[in-house]
Amino acid sequence: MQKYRGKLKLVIKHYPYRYRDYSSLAAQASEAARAQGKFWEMHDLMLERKQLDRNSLLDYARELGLDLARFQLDLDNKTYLPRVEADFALARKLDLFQTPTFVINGRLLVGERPIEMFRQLIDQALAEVPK
Amino acid sequence: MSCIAGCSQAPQCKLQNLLSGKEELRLVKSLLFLFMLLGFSQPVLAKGLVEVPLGDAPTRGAPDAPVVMVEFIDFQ
Amino acid sequence: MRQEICTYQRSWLKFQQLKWVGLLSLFGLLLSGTSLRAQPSQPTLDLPALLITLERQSQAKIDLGRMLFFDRRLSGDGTMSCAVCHIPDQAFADGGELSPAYPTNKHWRNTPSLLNAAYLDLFFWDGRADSLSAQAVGPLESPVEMNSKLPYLAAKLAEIPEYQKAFQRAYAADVSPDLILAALAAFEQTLSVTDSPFECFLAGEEQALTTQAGRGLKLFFGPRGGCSQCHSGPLLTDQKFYNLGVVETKTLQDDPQRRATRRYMLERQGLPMLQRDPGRYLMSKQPAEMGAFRTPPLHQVAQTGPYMHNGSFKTLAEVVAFFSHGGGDDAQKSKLLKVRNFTPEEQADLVAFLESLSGTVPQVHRPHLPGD
Repeated sequence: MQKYRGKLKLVIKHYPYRYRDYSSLAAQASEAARAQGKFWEMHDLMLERKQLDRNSLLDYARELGLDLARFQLDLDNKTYLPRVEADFALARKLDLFQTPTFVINGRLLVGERPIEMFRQLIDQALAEVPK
Repeated sequence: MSCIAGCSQAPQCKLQNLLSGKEELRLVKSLLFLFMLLGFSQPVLAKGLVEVPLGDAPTRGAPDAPVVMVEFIDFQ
Repeated sequence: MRQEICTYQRSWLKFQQLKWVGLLSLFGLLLSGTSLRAQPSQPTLDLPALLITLERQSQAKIDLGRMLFFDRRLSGDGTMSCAVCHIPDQAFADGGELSPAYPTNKHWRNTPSLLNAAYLDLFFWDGRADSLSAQAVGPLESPVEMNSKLPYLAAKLAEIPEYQKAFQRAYAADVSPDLILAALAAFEQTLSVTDSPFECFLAGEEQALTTQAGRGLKLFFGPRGGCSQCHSGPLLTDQKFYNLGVVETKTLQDDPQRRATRRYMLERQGLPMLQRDPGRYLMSKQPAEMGAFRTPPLHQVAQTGPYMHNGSFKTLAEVVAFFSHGGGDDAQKSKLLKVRNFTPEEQADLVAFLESLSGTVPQVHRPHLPGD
């Protein structure tokens, strides 16, 4: 994706799966980390390590040097649940049914798809941008 | 069946059926067609693009990038 | 509702067709009405019959089938639903060369569209299922697709009160593997498209096709094109198997995960690993059917690319060019394929005809699912 440097912006919306144990908790943890300026670091760690139970999330927070007491309080108080739920409601409103789902300048890409399909949609979007 | 053959049995399609093949009603058909042209516009048929309100969601990459890729994510 | 859409759509197509020649020509054309069938000088084309209207099952069965179609709990790890590969917005195909797969696995073939699948007698590229219900077992239990087991799935759904009620409402029976498949089939039977310009033309609307699509139709059904040797009947498929000489793609040849999928599919049928996709040979074990695939139905084909069993052609233009050259290079290639050297105009006409096979795709949305 280096070739799109300066031309592409990635935006994250939460769409935690209802039937998984840690989906919503992990989404809230990412927002709790974001409140301390480390969203992307937490995002990358969670995707890399895959363990998303509460203790693992606390370990990641510790590893990232977050204020652990504050992070823990945010999880326990469900501080960011409303934000996560708002994203969830948006996904439902948009009739999305799968994660990940990507929306590239309005065009949908459903599921984990080959990189070529991303390139195609990004190139198409770039071609449509008024010069 | 949604075109002529199918809707010929449906009472609500009588007009459509009437207008479908009769030579003498071609003018009426044309006028109806023009009326419909005025009544609808291209965007109605255009393949809808999904509009995602970004709000203050986390972002990465150039803030003013021409291409925005929104990922709906589940970390688990 | 669909009738209104059809009327509007046909009017719109006419507008697209005619706007270039101006309003006066528009009136002229509508009033005069040229016919591909009626003109005495035209050779008679052996055009297919219209698709019949399929009987809809009860709404309760359809609704249950739609719930199951979108429910990711039908897959082993809750990742995949039927809709991931049969995406409603993409004509119930998925837009990719090869199907998406169960996490960490990779698929070996292109996803066929579900549109009008209910009319088929044979399913999958190699025809290994003979009904919608039998077809649905494939992805549900395939380790590279949904990786579940029907008996376990039935047990899982039986523990969800809303599903219990939905099965009772639909079938007056408890959840069972057979009823899961039956409900999915009931839903898939609703995914038909029968209002394409071509269907409307067959129904007698002489203006439904553009002039270019009309020329394409003559080529398609005439001896010059030869397409209807195999793409015949209301579905535009004879549901038989042909080797076209489609080249194996590099990814299928080299990717160990895709090769593993092929190896697995072959072993299930008691066959050794092969360096190519066996096609129908997988099921028939007839050497003559090595590399032969079922003629695909063509309705809505313009929205279901990439094409061929391995998605090796991105566009209809590429497909038409391939057939113009007489297909690919394979010792067992069908004798029906001949070098035809279509002119660029003829190729464009054929593409226009293929585009005229697109009608109104049913709008299907994710329903409320138990536990939402």
